[in-house]
Amino acid sequence: MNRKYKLKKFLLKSISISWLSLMLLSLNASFAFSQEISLEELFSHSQDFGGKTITTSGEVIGHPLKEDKSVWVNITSGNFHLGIFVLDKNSLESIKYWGKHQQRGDIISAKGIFYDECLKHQISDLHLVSFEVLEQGAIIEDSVSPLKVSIAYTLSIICLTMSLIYLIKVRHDKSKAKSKTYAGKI
Amino acid sequence: MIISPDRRDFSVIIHMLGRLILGLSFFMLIPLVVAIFKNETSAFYDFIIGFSISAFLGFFLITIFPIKKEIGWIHAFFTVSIGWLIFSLLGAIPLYLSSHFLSFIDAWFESMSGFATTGLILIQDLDHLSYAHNMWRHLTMFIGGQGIILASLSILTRARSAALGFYIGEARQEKILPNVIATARFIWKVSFIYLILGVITFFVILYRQGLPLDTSFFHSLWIFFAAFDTGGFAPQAQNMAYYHSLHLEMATVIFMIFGAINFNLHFWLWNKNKKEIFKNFEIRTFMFSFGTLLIFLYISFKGNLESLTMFRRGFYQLISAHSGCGFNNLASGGLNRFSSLGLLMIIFAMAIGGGVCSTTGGIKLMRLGVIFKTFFMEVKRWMMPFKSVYKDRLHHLQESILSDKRIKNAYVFFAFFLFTYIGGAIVGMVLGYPALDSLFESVSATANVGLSIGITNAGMPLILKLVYIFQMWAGRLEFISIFVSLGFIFTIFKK
Repeated sequence: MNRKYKLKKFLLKSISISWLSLMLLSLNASFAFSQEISLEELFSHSQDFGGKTITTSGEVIGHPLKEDKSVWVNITSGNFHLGIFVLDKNSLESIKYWGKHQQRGDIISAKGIFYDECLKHQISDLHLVSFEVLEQGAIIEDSVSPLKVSIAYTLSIICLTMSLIYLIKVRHDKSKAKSKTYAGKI
Repeated sequence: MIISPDRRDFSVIIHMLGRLILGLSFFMLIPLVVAIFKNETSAFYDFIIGFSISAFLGFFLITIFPIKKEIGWIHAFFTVSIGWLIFSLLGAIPLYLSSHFLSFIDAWFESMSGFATTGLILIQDLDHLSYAHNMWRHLTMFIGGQGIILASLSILTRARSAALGFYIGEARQEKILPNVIATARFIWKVSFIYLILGVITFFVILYRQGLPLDTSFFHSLWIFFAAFDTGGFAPQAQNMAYYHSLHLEMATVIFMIFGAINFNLHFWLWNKNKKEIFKNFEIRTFMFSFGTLLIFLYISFKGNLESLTMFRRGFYQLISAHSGCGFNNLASGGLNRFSSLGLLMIIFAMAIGGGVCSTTGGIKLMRLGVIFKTFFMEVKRWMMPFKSVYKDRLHHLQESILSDKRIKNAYVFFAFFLFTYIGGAIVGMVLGYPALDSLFESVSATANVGLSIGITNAGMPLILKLVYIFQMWAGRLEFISIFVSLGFIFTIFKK
């Protein structure tokens, strides 16, 4: 009885250890596939990531661009840019700011399947599975330095003065030419 | 006899420059209006400063240096070559003030790239650039593509005698109408008609894609400037890849080709014989060169691409290179994935360019065709009896005999371009860049294309930025007016 119990206990232990190891392994694998990679890393080794699920991040820029019932979102990070193909455009409602002049776009973390040579769209793109807003963008105030304003005013006045001098000269030349013709006629 | 310049010659040149600078300053009022419309305060002041400096300089030069001599060809050539440098410097002022450039040289590079309709960029964070500055970037391409002097020529009255000098100085070698000023006006008329057609087409596509009304309008206008004037700038850092639109790409292909076609041929097709398109020598040369390059490009892809992929990856880049536009629809670093053979085909396409008297740069189809023809002519001549005289013919608007003058002209320009392409590549190689990449970027700059393999960025050596600025300038003016100006300066020292 005691032997049987020990064996059962041993078996149960082995199974739970194996199960735990398997769980850990699978966790590690999924972590490897959905690990956060930068756009620079993605495009430097794009062939290695082709067809895999990846997570990348960047600032959303411009506007959502429709393609039939789907939509394209462009993200940028440094000098790298990626087009994200989104099937459900309603899912983008959580994006509040799109990067443009005087506006910093939301930074999103996008998880999806990366296609190095997408057969559907003929470019490298990411087909979105899910995304989250990591950092909300903001409206950037259009500030002008007082120095720039004073330089602009000073230069405009100088330019205006020069244009007046030019006009006076043109008038003077014309009247001079007229008086010459008049004198010639006399 | 070589004309030896005196003070009056310089007075004429500086006066003409003043007038042209004044004309340029008025173009700066367009982005100024955009800044007001889009409520962009900082940009508004940038353009006030740019406009004031340019207008002041223009008025000052006109007032101080009166014309005391008849305007001649030599004055026209000198004005053109120096004018383009000054315009690009003045055009760089508002760009530099935008704080999107690391140095003034970078802004000058961008400005020269715009005026020369090249499309190479050094701008930082383009996606956050103001509408006013974007308008100016694209407007420089329109002004440069149509010809700064051509713009002024259509309104100037004092320079009628030297009009042809200005016209040729800007690398246009064929008159469309007997009168050069009428020719200039025709080119503007054609361009405005295409402008309306292009903007409507692009607007419909972009608006349907979901862009707001005003954004759709501005983007369509800018894309037209870039496509028709074969410039290649775009309002977003991804260039055409931003839009993810096959329709837009197809529409840009049409306008790129329109821009690359000889204006003379436009005139012929509009007013005379529509069948000319099938017989024209330049069009036939284009079909031959483009077809051959496309086949090799397909081979470089190892034939594993389906037709639509081939169109978007290969055909689009090739037509963009051949027309000298420089649009690209590839993801980041897309051209780096082309094989050496593929890159070489793009280099050849860029080096050739479009029609003479068009908005493109490069060797040009007519010259390439003439060079091919002389090759076959020479072979035929050797196969004929010793004393026989043989002259080949070509059909460009009308049948004409291939004269020795035309052949010489073709070879001279071919040599100029070839030396500049190789010279720029050598500088790139000396600075440590790979040979093929250096050649790619050098050809792209000289032929005013704007496709980049990655060398052109704000971090590249200063010397290379200056070399590319020179190549864009010399390539746009096709060397002659620059050489004449150098000769003009040389005669002063000779005295």
